[in-house]
Amino acid sequence: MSDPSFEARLQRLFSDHPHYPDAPLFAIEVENRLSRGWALRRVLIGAAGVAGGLIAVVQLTGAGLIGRIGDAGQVARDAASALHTTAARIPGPIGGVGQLALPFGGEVLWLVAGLAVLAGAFLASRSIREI
Amino acid sequence: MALAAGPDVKAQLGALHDLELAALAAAGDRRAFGELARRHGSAVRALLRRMGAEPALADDLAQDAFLAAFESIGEFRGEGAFVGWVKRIAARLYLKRWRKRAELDPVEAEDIGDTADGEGDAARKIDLDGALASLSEVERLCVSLCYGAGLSHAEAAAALKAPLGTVKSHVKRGLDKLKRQLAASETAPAGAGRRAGV
Repeated sequence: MSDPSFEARLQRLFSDHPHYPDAPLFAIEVENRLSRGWALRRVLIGAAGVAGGLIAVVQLTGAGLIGRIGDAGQVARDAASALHTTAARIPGPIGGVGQLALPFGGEVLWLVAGLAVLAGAFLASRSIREI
Repeated sequence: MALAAGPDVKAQLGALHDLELAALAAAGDRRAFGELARRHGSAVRALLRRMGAEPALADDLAQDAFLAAFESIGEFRGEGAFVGWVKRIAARLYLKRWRKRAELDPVEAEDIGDTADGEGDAARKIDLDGALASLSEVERLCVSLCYGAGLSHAEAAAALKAPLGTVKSHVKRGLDKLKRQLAASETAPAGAGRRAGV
């Protein structure tokens, strides 16, 4: 049969523990082991990042992506040139659509784009701080 | 909560409650966790020694328990005391070790015989550590799990991978022995008791 008063006494006895003189050393050892663990983790993450970057560069180079981007740029330039030529041949206001369609100058567009970049950078920095 | 850098940090950490320190540790502050280890290291080490671990093994396992606690500090909701939570982690780590040894040496691990009958010198030890030393290994383990680490009988049975009835029997036998031991120590002459080597 259980004896609640003895069980309560036993719990009290268990909670009454000796304080070891090397308790500060024990805590320092725990902290050191934690720091070693974090340092190792950082090294492993860094190594994984470098390895991943190298693999990505090798893959991009191997697939000839840079050459393809150059080719695509040339195609885009040719298409823009053809479009410009065609638009110049059309008489009337349609030919000058680039200037007439906008109620403001090109500087405003650049200003908006700059502000968007700034906002993006601000958001990115906030996100990194949160992480 | 941000802590100032420099020598004042220790004093600041020392003034914080366990829950605040645990919250800081959950945010990655290792110094806050160090303060928790400083406060409760002795309690965890003492429990492991009372469960039957040798002092060196108890210290190693206590460190492992604190590291495991840091890894899963996000799971600590503050519903109970921090030290109780770490004690349970430590007790389970010791049990894992004990079960491995039990597989290698089943006769010793399953020894449920009396190591003392409550008479003679053992009966004169006035403290818990001395009284626990008179229990068989399994009884000591079961009693420490239930009354030291705060596990229920069912949780202790699950941790030991033993039937609930078996654990209850070990606990009951252990309690009866402890009761006799502690009663004997109270009637023993003053100065007869001694603290076990913990």
